[in-house]
Amino acid sequence: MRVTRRHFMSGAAGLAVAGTAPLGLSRPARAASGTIAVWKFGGTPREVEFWAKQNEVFLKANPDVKLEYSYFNGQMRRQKMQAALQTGQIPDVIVGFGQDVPELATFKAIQPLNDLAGDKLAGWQERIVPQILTNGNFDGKLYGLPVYVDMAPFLAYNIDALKEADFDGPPRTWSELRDYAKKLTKPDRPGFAFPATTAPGDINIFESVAYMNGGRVYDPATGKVTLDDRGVVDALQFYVDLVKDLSTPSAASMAETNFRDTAQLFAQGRVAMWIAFSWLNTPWGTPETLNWTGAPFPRPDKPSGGQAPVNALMDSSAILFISASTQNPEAALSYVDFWSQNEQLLMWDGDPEYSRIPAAKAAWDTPELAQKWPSWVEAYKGGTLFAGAEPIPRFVGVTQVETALGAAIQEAILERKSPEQALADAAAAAQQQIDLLK
Amino acid sequence: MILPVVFAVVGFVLGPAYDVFRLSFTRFIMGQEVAFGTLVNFKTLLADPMFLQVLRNTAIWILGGTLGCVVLGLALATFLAIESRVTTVLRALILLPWILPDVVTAMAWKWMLHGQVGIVGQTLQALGITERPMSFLGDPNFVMWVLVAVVIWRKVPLITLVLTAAIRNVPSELIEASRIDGANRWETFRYIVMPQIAFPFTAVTVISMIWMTAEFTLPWVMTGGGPANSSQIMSTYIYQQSFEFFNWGVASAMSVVNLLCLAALVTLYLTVMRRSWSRKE
Amino acid sequence: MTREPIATTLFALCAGVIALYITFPILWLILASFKPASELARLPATILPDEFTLGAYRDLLTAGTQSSQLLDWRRLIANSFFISVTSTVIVVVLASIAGYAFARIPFPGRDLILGGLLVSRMFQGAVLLLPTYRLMVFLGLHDSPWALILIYSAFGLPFATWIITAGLREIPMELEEAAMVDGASRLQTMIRVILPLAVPSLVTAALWHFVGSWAEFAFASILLESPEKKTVTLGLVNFVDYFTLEFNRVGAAAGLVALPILVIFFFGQRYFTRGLLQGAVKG
Repeated sequence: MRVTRRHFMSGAAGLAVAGTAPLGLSRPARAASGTIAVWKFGGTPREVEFWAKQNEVFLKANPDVKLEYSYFNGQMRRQKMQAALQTGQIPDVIVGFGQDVPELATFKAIQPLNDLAGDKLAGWQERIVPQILTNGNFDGKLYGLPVYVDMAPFLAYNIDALKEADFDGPPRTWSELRDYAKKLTKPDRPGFAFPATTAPGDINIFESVAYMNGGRVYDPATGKVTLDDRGVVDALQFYVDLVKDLSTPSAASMAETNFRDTAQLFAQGRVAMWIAFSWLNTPWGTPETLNWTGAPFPRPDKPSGGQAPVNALMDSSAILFISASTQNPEAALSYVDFWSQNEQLLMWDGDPEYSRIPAAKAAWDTPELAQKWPSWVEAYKGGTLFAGAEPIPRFVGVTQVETALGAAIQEAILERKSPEQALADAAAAAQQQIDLLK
Repeated sequence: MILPVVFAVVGFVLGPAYDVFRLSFTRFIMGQEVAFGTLVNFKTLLADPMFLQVLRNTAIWILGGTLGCVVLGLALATFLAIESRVTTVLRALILLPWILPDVVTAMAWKWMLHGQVGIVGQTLQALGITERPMSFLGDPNFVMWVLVAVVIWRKVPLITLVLTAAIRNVPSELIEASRIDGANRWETFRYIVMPQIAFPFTAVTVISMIWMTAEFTLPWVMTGGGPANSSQIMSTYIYQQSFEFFNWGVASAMSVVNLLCLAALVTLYLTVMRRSWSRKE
Repeated sequence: MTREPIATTLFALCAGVIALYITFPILWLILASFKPASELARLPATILPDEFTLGAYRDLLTAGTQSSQLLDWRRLIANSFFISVTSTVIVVVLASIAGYAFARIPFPGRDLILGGLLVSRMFQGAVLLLPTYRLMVFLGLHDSPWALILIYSAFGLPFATWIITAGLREIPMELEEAAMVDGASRLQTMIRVILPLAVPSLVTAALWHFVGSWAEFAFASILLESPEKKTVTLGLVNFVDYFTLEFNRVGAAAGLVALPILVIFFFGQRYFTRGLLQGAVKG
């Protein structure tokens, strides 16, 4: 019953604690103690296993802290957050997604770390790649500590298939991609595939293509949904063109094939190229026999959107937040700081089982990463890997916009509506949904 | 003696249901309740261009699913009521669709129905029924019906068992008598068996309607409302509004509308069916 | 008599089609669990495993392999058993008592209340998740198996009451009256005369409720947090989520979760069938 009482207390005392949190800094530093609840959402099996193992290490180093650790699969995330928000049962530390930052911050569920972290902040800035750390920012403050990111869009291609069609390198532009896809297509093996289900990952992949074209889905300054932006429309037209070229599986097939299924098709040699996040198809087992590699996704021939083209979108699906109502900010902070240490961060070294872009600066000097992803390391050292990269779209109501966008992608590729029409309708629908929140 | 049951239902079913009712008249701002006594949630619902499509899909879902469940259930029950060792085994087997959690059922079906890797498409192609494997869950024209077929598979066991028991309860003298009177099988079924099982038949129909209205996991996991919202039904839309969009007020209003529709449907059905009971009595 | 062979063939054909229809998806998953991943990736799909392997089960159960470290199946199964059995006992006891009242004691509004209970199932689905969560937080029961026991019982009671009431109504009043004339009290009659005859409907209600509780996911997912309290369904869904495309593992895990249910049905089936027969003979 202790748990229950603590939760009850946190409901009653939550506001008071939130108000006094900054004052905690003036207290002399002391070893963290007490109980903290931690919720983690999603992750590859290896990561989930590793996380639980490192929790033991944390407990050894902090013998006075008791950890109530809960893991939930990624699909439970919004549901658990909604339940927590509605009842004030917010765990001390949430390991959530980068896209959650604006909503959690606006609903006052999490607190800025700038003041709370004190002298620890300098250590984070020292150890973590600055562009990756920006994934924790919102409204000029740092709300979360990301431990890795994924980036999109990338292109995975079957080297043998390209050779067979007399291509000696990957396509560089959208028109080249269309050309490659046409030439690579055989009756039982389409040249190219993109995932187009309602899964958020599939929609994020499309967003990265649209942003690359100078498109944006939302304007935070005006609060307007901008799905009908030229850059987005033309990106969708690009998808539609690929389908109409007959260079992809049928539209209906892609509407039921998510990113994992697409990875599987590629691994089985049943498509020659596919678009993905930086994890490409690593977590889902690519046979040794498949001769393949990854490359940056081709660029639009001439970006048509109204905004600056974004080279890549960064998505962090493990980012640590501290609850605004935690009663034990010291222990929560020491837990977050624990995960900012290289001993933890270096686990993401490009290993296919983890399949992430590491956040630790130190990881970029490891032989593991250099061996697995030489092109990443080269780009990082040359200062181009994160150049022009931005955090994935995040604002209050992002789920509404992405849901509408997902439906629009399906409407357009299934030829139920033109890309313009589908996106205009989606923009109107998403705008209505977002305005409801306010 | 009935109090514990009544209390349990009032406390844990009607209590939360009342909460939903209250929230439907509550204005929310940024996910927080701000004021009770507003129709804004219902107005929003009416203005939502998606709502009509959702209603249409839901009609297919509830009516198609209920009809399928009771018709197939009746057919299976008629067969399983035959006395034989084979039917005894089948009566045990028929519970199989019920034993796996919804989520796993949904994943298994999704896998089997997948156009590129699924066994169903592959079999249809091998039998020459379709030219290439079909993308059952990616085609907006089919998806609703495919989902209905899957949900029938999932829900039909109980219906079948209740009806089997009911049919076997029909006094054999009545059937003998009608045979002697020269009735054929169909006539016996129609004029002797059906009136005898009218009550359980009505009950399972109502139960299916309620099940279909509440069922959410199967469509959500299999299609997430797609493609292009063509399989978005009330229950998935309510889930999306509440847990994805955090629009708790609108989701509650939708639930109230959903409940009213269901209540109207059930009342209508019971009114119609009342005649057949009174004929039996 | 000449129609016999045709009828038999037709009968066998119907039986075969029905058996295939009912079992195929589950059979398909179980077959998949015996195939190596490489075989599952091949097209066209094989029906029977070309290369029979128990690898997926070994991965599932052996300590030290990746998949088993994530989930402690024994604990998950024990938790689910505790929740399902407790809830089933509560439901059967309360529903029997209420069912007896509905079947035997005339009181005003009887049918209306019974109908009302059944119709209360209209209030269900995803939208009740959050209000229920709030209620359980209010009662201090969230993240407790008792929250699920209460919820499942409340959800299961109306249907169980209905089945048991229907079963009791089939038992001839005369038997009971005879016992009462012999000087037995109402309680004695209920236990000695009615209960044995009501076993089929009780078993039916119990089995049904047990399976429903065992397989429930939505409420368990929102109400339970601590890993050591989770149910086997939550474990299964997490597992399926990790290995979405590895249907050999998914099949093995699904088989493991379904096994207890199958065992229970194997033993319960006798009563189940006897119950159905009993009804028919008596009718």
